[in-house]
Amino acid sequence: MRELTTSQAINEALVEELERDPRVFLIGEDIGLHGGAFAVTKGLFQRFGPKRIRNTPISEAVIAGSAVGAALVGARPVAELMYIDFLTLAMDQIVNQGAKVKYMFGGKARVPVVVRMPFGAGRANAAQHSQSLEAWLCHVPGLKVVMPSTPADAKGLLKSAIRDDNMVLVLENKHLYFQKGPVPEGEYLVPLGVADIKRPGKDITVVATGRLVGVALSAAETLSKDGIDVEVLDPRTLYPLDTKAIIASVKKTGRLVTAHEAVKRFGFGAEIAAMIAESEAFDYLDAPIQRVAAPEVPVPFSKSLEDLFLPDAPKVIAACRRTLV
Amino acid sequence: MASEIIMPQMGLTMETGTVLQWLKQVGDPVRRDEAVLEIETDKTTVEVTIDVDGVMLAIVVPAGTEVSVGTRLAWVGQAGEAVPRAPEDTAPMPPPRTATLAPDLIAGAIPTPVEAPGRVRATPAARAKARAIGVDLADLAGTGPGGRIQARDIGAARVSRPISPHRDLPISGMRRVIAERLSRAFHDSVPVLLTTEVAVDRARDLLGRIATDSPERAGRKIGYLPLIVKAAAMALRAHPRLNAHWLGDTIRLFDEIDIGVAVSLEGGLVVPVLRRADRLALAEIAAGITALADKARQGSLPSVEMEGGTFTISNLGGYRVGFFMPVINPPQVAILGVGRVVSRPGILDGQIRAVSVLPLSLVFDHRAVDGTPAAAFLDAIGAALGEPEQLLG
Amino acid sequence: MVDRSGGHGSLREGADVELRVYRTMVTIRSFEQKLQELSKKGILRGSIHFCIGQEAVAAGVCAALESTDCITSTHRGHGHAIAKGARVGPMFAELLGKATGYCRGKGGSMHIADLDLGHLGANGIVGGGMPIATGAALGFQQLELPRVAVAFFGDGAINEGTFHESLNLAALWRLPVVFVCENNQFGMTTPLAEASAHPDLVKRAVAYNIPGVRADGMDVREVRRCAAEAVERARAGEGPTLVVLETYRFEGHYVGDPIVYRTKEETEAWKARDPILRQREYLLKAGLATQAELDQIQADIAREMEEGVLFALNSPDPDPSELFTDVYSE
Repeated sequence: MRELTTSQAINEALVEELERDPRVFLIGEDIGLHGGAFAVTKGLFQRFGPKRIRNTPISEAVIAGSAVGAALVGARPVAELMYIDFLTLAMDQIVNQGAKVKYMFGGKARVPVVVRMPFGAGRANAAQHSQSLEAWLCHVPGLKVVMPSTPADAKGLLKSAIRDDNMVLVLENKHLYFQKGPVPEGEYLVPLGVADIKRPGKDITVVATGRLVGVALSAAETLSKDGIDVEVLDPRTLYPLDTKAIIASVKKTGRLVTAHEAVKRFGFGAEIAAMIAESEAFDYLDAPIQRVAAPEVPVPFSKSLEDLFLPDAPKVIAACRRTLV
Repeated sequence: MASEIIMPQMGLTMETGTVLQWLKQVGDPVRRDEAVLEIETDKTTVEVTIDVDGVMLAIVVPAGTEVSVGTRLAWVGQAGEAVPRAPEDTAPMPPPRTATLAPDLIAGAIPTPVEAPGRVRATPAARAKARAIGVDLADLAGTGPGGRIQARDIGAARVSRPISPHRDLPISGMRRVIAERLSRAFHDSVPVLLTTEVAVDRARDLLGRIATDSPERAGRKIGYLPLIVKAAAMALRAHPRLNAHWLGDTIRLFDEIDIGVAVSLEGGLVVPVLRRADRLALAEIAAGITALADKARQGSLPSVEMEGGTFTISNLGGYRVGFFMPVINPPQVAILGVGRVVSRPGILDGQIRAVSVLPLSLVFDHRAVDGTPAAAFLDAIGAALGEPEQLLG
Repeated sequence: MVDRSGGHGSLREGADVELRVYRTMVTIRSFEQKLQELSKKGILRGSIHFCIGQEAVAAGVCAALESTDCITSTHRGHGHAIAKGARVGPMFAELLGKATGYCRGKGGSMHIADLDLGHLGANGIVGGGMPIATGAALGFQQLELPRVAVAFFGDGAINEGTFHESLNLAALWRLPVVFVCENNQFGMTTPLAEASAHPDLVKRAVAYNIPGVRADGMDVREVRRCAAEAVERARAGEGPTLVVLETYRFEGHYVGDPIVYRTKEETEAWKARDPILRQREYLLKAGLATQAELDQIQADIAREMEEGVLFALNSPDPDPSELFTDVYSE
């Protein structure tokens, strides 16, 4: 199978959806001639022109808000916020407006908006350009949140998100933009709300998201040498969450480790842990649930500190071992 | 807050590990990623690293010791910190002032569960398994951290209950001997039980007459036992095959009839022997039994007096016991068990009367004696007791 | 109930439209007054913001719109809704939280909307509607529809960042949107002079290189004229206009507002410029209606109100299952 980088795979998804549906258009900063801060929209402006590829001023609130407005009258905008950290400037339009109009208006509205947001640390971007804020978004009824971990998933999820009639936030870990992976030829979709077991195993369930999926796979490889068989489960869609798959996995293994790059407290891992504790999988737990996450500090600049900040394979391995004592 | 270093699980099959060498001693500073000890697992030798900065506070398991996975090996903490006496929760929150990492020890130091008195610590899977097979978690010890019961600790369906309150008696020499001998006898011999009921009204009347006729013996009544001894002795005379020892390759038939009369003592029983019982008068038998019993109870019975019996009588007539199966006194070939005389309706001279009935139980070793001779022997005893006048003298 | 779709033909002069806007204003006023009655009876819940005194803005602007044009509204939006064609029955019902309300009882006063009427929603967030109206205009441009969006907002919202971002983007891309600032002189309890560094709000248009128009918001005819020009400009692809309409709310910011921040004299002065009275005088003077006809309109509307309230009071509450519906589209 051919290999693409995540960036290329996303680009392909955008091209296909722009061609398929004339109502689809992109809106964001520096996505035009420049091709996007991470080269994701490279070549699109040249191919589709300024009307379909809307290069905006630095105005996150109106980027998100106009996407909502355009969607309400029948367009299908794909907005981009350059870093998820800038979400804060667009929060009202996403959380108070887009997420809620359908409900507040008694059902008539449709808000087919996609907001793509690069996120994550590890590139010395420091505190205001390195966060993982998926928990904020998952917490809002009316929003859907996806987080691909591979090029193939990134392409398939984005296509599904664009075709979804709700506000879908697509969180793309910056590290993964340059990582290559197999991407099927031809048309395919990855449905929202369906998890993927990236590595089946019988001893421990590791629910990992984004960049931590690859980290978890690496940890699993190491642990396999000691005869520990780790199952790595990638939810792919954070909300709606494929609880069935996670429950089934934990019932099988009896041990759960969550792994994400966001800080630990009140994070996505906390939701998985609580969900499992409330589920029928509770009676199958044979060890306390472990959460691998970033420490509860802003992201530091210095590499030596940032390396400490990032959850890595040794931390996942340690967490797995703690479920085995 | 101090944290533990525990024996890590380095492989699913690992159950124990040996501390080979401590690379850090108490008081040594330790830093993240430093190796603090060397352990040996079932597969290999491995260095165990730590992922926290601090100081070695205490070493709990010295080098050269093999311990189970999960055993606490050492305490690490801040300089000057006291080693916790009881296991404490180590909260994973970072200290408020500095920006150090929350403890996340590669060595497998884990938060020790808080002691909760009266509560059983068990994982949900263990609880579910215990519920399913009806096991009480309180009866189990867990192999998880802090004694937490895990699923693997719930074994197969059968589980031992705690023993009821009790006290243990040491086994005395006598007890041991009885146990060994009788066990052997029971297993080696082929015991067969024959029973008979003997109407003993005439015997009772006779004993009554003896009592009144002999004022010098008035103080000591003769009971049934001497009568039974005499009857047995007479019957043995007539049926010598019952007056024998089984020696494995021979049967020794004795000329003399030496009847052992079992005497119950505190903590056991002894069988003093009445020599030549067939030649003793009833009164002598009675006196002899009494004397032997007294001596036995006083502990002044020499062991020679307990050797060489050819037949044994076991009397439980003092209790509400009817028929029973006494154990043959090896190498003898038979034993007679005596139960309590009871009054029952019976036929006497064609009429329903109250009849005194004595239950007799004969156990014989079928290796030495066959059923018919044994039955004849028992019958003879019964007949003699039925016409007890012949036993006088 | 009489259907009123907020104006057919923005540029049509004549008795038709003048009478219609009068009717619209009276309906708005009566509706608000009816709500005041209900509020005093204690059956209204939540935040209600009356637009009494500002009726000319809603009526005049919406009279310049086609039914397919869109508006975004504010927390003080009953007038905008009625002017855009909303019927009072479902509006009362919505305010009473009934299943027959425009939002099935799930939005309330600050979130009234009807996409079929081109009403893209009142908004509980000050300044929250401007990006959405901008987006609607963007959507029209994308889909090549000859439609216009109007963003209503106030002198308080004009200082929200969304004003700046929306006008800049709309101007940059020449989006078919009209930004109508309903300047009632106060942002809640804060007077304009204490909120805006430059008190002449229309001057801000210069910053975005777009036309700015200031007009008397108590004169419905002037409002309609200005709005019509701006709408035409937008529809012609010439981009947005900032229209600042000077008006005044006769009541407090909210029900129960002690109104310590302005004088009775000031209020009375503005009340003397009541837009309804003004239009009524004009109609009579221009011979476009007789007193009797105007009285009849009053009576008709009064009956509409009664019917509307009854309709609402007799409507059921939403089914409990509605708690969970319409969070997401299928």
